[in-house]
Amino acid sequence: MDRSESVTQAPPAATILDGREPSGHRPPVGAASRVAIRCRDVHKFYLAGERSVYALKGISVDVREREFVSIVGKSGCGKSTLLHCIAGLLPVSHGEIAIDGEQVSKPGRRDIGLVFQTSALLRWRTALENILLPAEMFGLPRQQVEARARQLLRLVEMDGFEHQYPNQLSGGMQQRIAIARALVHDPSVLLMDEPFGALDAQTRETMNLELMRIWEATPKTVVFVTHDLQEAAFLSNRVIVMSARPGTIQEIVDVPLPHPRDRDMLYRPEFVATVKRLRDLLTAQREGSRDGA
Amino acid sequence: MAQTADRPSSLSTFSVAPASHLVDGREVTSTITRRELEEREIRTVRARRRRELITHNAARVAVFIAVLVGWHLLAGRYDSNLLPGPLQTYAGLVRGWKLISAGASATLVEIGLGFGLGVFGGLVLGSIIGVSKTMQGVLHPFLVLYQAVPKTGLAPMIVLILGFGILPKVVLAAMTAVFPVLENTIIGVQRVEEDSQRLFRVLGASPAQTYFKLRLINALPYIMTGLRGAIVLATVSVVVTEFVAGRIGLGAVMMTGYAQLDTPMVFGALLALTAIGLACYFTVCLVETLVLRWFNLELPAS
Amino acid sequence: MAPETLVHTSDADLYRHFYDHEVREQARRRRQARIVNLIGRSVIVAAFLGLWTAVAAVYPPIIVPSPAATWRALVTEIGTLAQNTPPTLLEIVLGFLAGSALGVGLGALVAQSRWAEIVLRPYIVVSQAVPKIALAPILVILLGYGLTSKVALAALIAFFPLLENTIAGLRRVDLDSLRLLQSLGATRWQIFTKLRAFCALPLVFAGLRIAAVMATLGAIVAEFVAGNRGLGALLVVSMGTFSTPLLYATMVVLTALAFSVYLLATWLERKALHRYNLAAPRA
Repeated sequence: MDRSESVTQAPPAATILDGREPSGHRPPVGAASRVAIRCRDVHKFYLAGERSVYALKGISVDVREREFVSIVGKSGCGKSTLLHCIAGLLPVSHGEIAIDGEQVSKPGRRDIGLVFQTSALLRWRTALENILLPAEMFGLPRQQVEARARQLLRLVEMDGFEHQYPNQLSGGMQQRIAIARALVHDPSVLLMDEPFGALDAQTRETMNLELMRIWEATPKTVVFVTHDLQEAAFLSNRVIVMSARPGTIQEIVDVPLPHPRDRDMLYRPEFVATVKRLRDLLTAQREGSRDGA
Repeated sequence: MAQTADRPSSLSTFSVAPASHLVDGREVTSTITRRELEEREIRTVRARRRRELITHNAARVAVFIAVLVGWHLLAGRYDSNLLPGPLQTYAGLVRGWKLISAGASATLVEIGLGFGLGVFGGLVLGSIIGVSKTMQGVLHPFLVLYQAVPKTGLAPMIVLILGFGILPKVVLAAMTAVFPVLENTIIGVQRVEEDSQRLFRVLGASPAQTYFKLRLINALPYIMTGLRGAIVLATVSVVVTEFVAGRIGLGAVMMTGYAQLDTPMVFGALLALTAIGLACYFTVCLVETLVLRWFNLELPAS
Repeated sequence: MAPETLVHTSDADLYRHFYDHEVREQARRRRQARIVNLIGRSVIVAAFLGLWTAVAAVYPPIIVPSPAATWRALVTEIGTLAQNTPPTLLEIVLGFLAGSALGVGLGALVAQSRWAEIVLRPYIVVSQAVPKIALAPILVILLGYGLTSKVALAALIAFFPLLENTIAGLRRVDLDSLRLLQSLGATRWQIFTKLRAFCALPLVFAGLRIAAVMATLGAIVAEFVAGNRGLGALLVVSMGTFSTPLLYATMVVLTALAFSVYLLATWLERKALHRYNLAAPRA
């Protein structure tokens, strides 16, 4: 079910956090790239009270290193469930998920960073203290990590806000801190579950650009769940379209535009075509179910 | 630093010059600036708040005086050994001052110890029970039973075992105070946002780490509410035990006065008890405010 | 499970495979929980009785009677116990009714006027902190040794939680629903009967539950002080005469009584909330 890879541009080898400036040109993500996340025949079935939910059925997909992949689909199609399975938060009923070759069995892997829709910042910690949380959990030395945390604050453009509490920050600002927190332990994989879903449209647009900028600076493998087709197409190399009940991969769509992306690309014919393709796929789902399939 | 859309804008970016608009193609200048509007609004609100402060507090004082006067008038129709008025109460207070002040300190000590013990027990037990769903299932009917039956009814039984001194009062106060703290700790420790719990799991936190860094702190507002309930219950419990085992404490003083038909002294002791009850309660409220402020867990005033 | 072993011919097969598995798991977990609960609770009851017997063995029987002695007293003194139960029950019920009616009534009145509520707020807060139970001797002095003083104390301490909860409940209205009714031109009375009263129900019934426990407490403490009739009085009298088995037997009866009152109040609460579909969703 995995589409053959097209040559899309990958993030630069050098990152801002190494102290060197990023180069404008990147090596392509091609067949030579390693697989970061591998899912094979993943099924997830559970009972919720009276209902039974077949959340994921036969999911098999490869996500390459430093690829930006989005998952879209209607509510209830299992995209968040898939993300949680990759994170190790949910056990799968069948199948395997491996990150960097190692199977995912339980949560707590240092090579994963997770960003939630609700930011999940702890109310009683300042922004900086929140960012340092993963370091505390993983037992990393405080000195080193604090320097990195401050760097990340600068990266997400929240320096000056170290000692603010989450309730003093707007939604967009909270998500920036959440992103910084997810990066502080330098994971190789970033999992994002509708992180901008709770923000208003304007802020969401801004945050998309910001995310692109941050991703340039610290290239990671990203799996991004969203219901917003434009957002998915704008951010990713590939978009996985899922259909509901049971959750399966309908199709994986390539986005034929180079990174770095900018606002003008929203009007390019390739972009429009991609979004149209995504929309058609989703509409087809609805019609398919109406025929009583 | 690039400007971003979600930064709060500062007032200084507003121009002081009046705004102008086009009406039917002709320029019309507003005669008022934003700053002026803002200042006018602040002044009106401030004035109203000041007025309200005065009227509300005046009304409260009026109510207090009305009650006092009403009491005085009502008591005038009865013998002072049946219903003493405010003046006789004060006289009774002065008369029995030695007894009352000694009783007051004893009662205060009993409340303090009972409260402290109960809170400690409630926190420890609540932590243990709160994290284990199995324990909650097993203990559920017992907890309901504990809540339903007024533990103060155990006073005679406890006095028989522990005597007439401070101990029975402290023990019963602890037994009563335990419950609100226990219950609220259990609730608070469980009512943690899903995403925060997931965050800790993804970070591979041990159960102890999750408990102390997330669940317990999250439970603090609830625990503080429990503390308030606990101090009230501890006070009540101490008073009732003193009624039953009347030798030390203000409750005992009241029972002495009751037996001797010295009603003004009973009222005087009651007054002292009221003062102690209030002092204890507000101390706990103060602690609550300070703790919540330290952890930035205060809720914005509604 | 290696991915290769899952070979099925149709979707329906797959579905059924997982469904059966999950249903079996769930049934197993439920059975386990029930067994654990049963064992755990039996252990606790046994431990309690064991501890009691052990303590009774250490202390002289005139201080701590054994469970067996308590049971004997329960049987032999059934007459005295039966005689003293109705007065206590009557005090509790009357006190509860009076206190609740006054609490809800006054609460509704105060809640109507924002001004009254703000002015009285400090007094209501203060009344929380003051141990109203301390009024027991005074009420007995004022109202005598009969039914009145005990009903008065029970009503008094049942009154306050209801007053607070009624006021809080009536204030707690969903803003959008309020705006809707206002846009439909509802009068203040209509808003009260069609909206506020319902919003207040959960808190009011919770308050009633608390009031039931409070009324029980009030009745018992008033009987402690007056010491002439009722289960509370029996407790104090048997303590004074060191008739300890009777004391413990009375405790058992009193516990049963208090618990029944509480269960009744809880049942009423559940019925009422269910009738109006106001029950809080299970966590």
